[in-house]
Amino acid sequence: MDLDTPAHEIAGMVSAGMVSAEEVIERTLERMRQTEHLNIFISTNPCAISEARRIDDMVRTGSDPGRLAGVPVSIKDNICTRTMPTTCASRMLEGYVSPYEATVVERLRREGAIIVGKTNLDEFAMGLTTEFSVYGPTLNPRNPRYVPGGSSGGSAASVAAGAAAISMGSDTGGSVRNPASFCGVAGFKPTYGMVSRYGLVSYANSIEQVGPLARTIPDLALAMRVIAGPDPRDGTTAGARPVSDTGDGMDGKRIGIVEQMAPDSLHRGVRAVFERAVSGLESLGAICEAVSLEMVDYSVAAYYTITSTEAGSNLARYDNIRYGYGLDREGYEFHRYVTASRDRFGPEVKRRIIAGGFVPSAGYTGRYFLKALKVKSRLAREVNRLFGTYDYLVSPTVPVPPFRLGEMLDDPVGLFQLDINTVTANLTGKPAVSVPCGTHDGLPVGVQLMADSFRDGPLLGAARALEGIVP
Amino acid sequence: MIGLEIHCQLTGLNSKLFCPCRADYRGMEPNTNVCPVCMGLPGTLPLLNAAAVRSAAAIAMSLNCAPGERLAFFRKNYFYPDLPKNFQITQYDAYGHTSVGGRGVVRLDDRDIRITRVQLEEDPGRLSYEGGADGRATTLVDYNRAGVALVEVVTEPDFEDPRQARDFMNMLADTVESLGAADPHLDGAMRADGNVSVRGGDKVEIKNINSFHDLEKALHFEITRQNSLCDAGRTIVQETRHWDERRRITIPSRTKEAELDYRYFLEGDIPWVAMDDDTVRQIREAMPESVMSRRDRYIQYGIAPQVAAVLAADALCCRLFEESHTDRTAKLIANLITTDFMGVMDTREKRAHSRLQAGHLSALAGAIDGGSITRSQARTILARLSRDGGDMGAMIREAGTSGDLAGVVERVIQEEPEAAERARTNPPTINHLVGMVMRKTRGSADPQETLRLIRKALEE
Amino acid sequence: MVTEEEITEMAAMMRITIDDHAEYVDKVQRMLDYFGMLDSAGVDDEEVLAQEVTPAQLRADEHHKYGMGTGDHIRAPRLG
Repeated sequence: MDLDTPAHEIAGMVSAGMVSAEEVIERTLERMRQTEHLNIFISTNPCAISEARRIDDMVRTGSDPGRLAGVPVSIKDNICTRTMPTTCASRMLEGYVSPYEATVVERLRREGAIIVGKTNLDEFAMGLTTEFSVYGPTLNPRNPRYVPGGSSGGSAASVAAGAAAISMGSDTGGSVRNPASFCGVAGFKPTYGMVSRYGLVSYANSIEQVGPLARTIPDLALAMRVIAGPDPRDGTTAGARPVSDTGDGMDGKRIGIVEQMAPDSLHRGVRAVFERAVSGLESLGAICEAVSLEMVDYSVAAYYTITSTEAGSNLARYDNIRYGYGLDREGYEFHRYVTASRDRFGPEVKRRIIAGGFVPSAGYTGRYFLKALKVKSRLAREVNRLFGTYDYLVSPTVPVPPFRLGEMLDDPVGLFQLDINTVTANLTGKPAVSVPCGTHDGLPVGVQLMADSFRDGPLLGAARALEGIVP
Repeated sequence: MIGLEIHCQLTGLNSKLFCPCRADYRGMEPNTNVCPVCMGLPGTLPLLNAAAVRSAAAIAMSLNCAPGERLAFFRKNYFYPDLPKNFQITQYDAYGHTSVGGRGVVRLDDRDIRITRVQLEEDPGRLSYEGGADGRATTLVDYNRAGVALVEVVTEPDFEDPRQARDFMNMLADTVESLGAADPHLDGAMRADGNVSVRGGDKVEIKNINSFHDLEKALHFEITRQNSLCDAGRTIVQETRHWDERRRITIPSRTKEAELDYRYFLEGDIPWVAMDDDTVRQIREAMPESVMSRRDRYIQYGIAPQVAAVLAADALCCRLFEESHTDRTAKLIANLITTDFMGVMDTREKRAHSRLQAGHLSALAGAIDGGSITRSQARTILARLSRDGGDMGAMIREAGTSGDLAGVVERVIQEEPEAAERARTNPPTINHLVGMVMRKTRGSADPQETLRLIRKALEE
Repeated sequence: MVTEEEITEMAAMMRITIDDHAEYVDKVQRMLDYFGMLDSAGVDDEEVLAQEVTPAQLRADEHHKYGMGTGDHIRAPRLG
């Protein structure tokens, strides 16, 4: 095996004793050292080797080591782990170790996965370039002068660089799919409520999901089968259902091409990849037609309105009283102490917290927040109507190919526009997947498929079909 | 006019509103009744307690408030050390009626009290202070209470005086107690904020009132304060004041107006709860009878409406009544409870510790009804029983003999009006009456007791 | 259009210190202006949709001890 072997094959070989988990993990750690310059990991698991040996012991004694036996998995550093810090790439949580483990991490470990490290992200997942990290930017393994996308940039880069077979990211408005597209890997945003958020540090809790990244679609499906399902610690997962194995082929399937997500202004390189993918789907027997989602034009504004509000509230708990970092309390009054403590947030986080103060403020409630909720509801109705006719919706994942580091840093609103194709899935709660479908100037371009709620399994089947026709 | 916001902890639950820590934190070491959820640790999520929803809905329905068809939770955002997340999860009717109870009206004495809404929310932690010249240099925080379920009942300004406000709070205490939702006697289980306005002026909010007794005091103080300002030609400005328990005055809060923008918005971690008809019916069927319907039922026994209202409003007294009365003795027992028992044991706390039992009441009523003791003897026995307990049979027997004697004395005085009149003006002639009584009882009466009873009868 | 003063006040309410004043004001203003486009979405008559559960799907009222905690108070600074 080599480090590009898909996760399900690694698990198969480890379970069969064809390769030891220890060897897999040792080679992974070696790859992590070789790719240190990409700044993918914030921390690494010091117990990875001994955990791998335990898997090997299980194999030797004939007990079931699990569906992810010996598979190296990386975890975005906003998902809580007990044995490694969870920093959210913020000075605010420097060195913070959670007393409990996130549900997804528990479920991965139970199936024999080896957590190799915690990956870099935009601070508290606010960004889409992984440049807003206190630990510095992660570089794109395909070309280190380019951003890996974000906010799960470290996760996507770890998979692209062979430093993990599967990674857990979080997707608030495209944070899994965007870096998957930029790094040329597959990324999945599950139906809202399919995967437990217990242990995911909240940014915009009403729309975000933990989602897997991997090199192949079958690996995404494997990861989903392990992590999805109701969790008594997350009340929003009460309706979660099992992920079915595959879809039933592309023949006769109806696919809507969302006009607003592939406008005339679309980057020509992205358009070329996208059009090839659509032709490919048609060649498999799918019927592709242009469809319109009027509310997409307002979706990004609604998205940032909701995320700023929820972020402003979710991040209020970081006051350095119950946990945090050393700051001498002597001489401080409570509110001044809290303000001084919170100076550790980075500038992007601070801006969103301030904007998030205005949105639900007594004087502005009707103007911004309620309207955003209504746009969200209208968008959901439009999407539901389309899913009455169409099996899937398709679009480019991101309207532009990867760009250079520093290129977009100064224009917050310009940067927002990059989310236009991904936020709809978050606002409507629908599952969406980014499939690597080609390159422009040697840089990866992804195509997004979206399905109706709880059709995560069939969506992964469709993604597998699309993956299969990429040259 | 006075409006109330009453917070009642659901102490009848096993766990907090959003996590499995204990609902009853009393007597525990600081910060031992906590978990990642109620400490607001990163990544944790609130898990709504099903029984809290049912209890809160039952309280709302008891106050004639319809539960929302869908319950939504909101975040109330402000920074304070007793809030682990620096927001409180509460309810708020921003998008239609989504709180646990909507508008309702309850009848209290002769007035209608309008309920604005009933909502379910989490209690903050507890603060204490130490150090420095003023003893407040450090704020000590205990999160054992943080996340305990609270039901908040908000009324319209429908109370004219503090006594009515207190009566309402008592009625609410009885309601939650009879529902089994809370033990209102526990320290801090029921707390009130009051809104006071006089002569059409702005309303002033009084916070931090932690007992039934202080509620009346704090409202009185505030009304007097506002009236004297008005008399002096000053205007009342809208503000929030705190009740200072120690100094027994209200003082202005230091919070700035700008800080009162709580930025309410929907809590996405808690799905909306659909209160379907089946659920509401189940809750209603499991509810004990409401104070109002109990009162109406008591009136059917021929009990005076005011007596019925007083009786129906007190859970303990109701229980005593229900377990002791027959159709024949209902009226008598209602009077024994509301005038005699409640007269001696004049607070809820005293009554809660009283030794009186339902069996005592049926026996007493039987004895009065059968003529073996008088009504006033019953009062004396009831007072002794309530305070000290004891052998009631013996008390009735003892009173029964003296009851006969009192009857003889009464007859003698009626038969000898001149002798009685003489005894009034010339006390030594009272011996004639004593002799008459001794003759009638064939010398079995105790002379001292006979003398006492004749003197008492002559005074009446 | 929110004013610079409003942004400064809001930052204080959110317990955020802003160092590079002009830059923050500019960027926050641009964000809020952008949110303002929601005014023209024409969704006033739309109903707010939300995820729903039945009371039976809520957490059963059971106590479990977590076993964290110190037995001591947490010390916060003086309240002003």
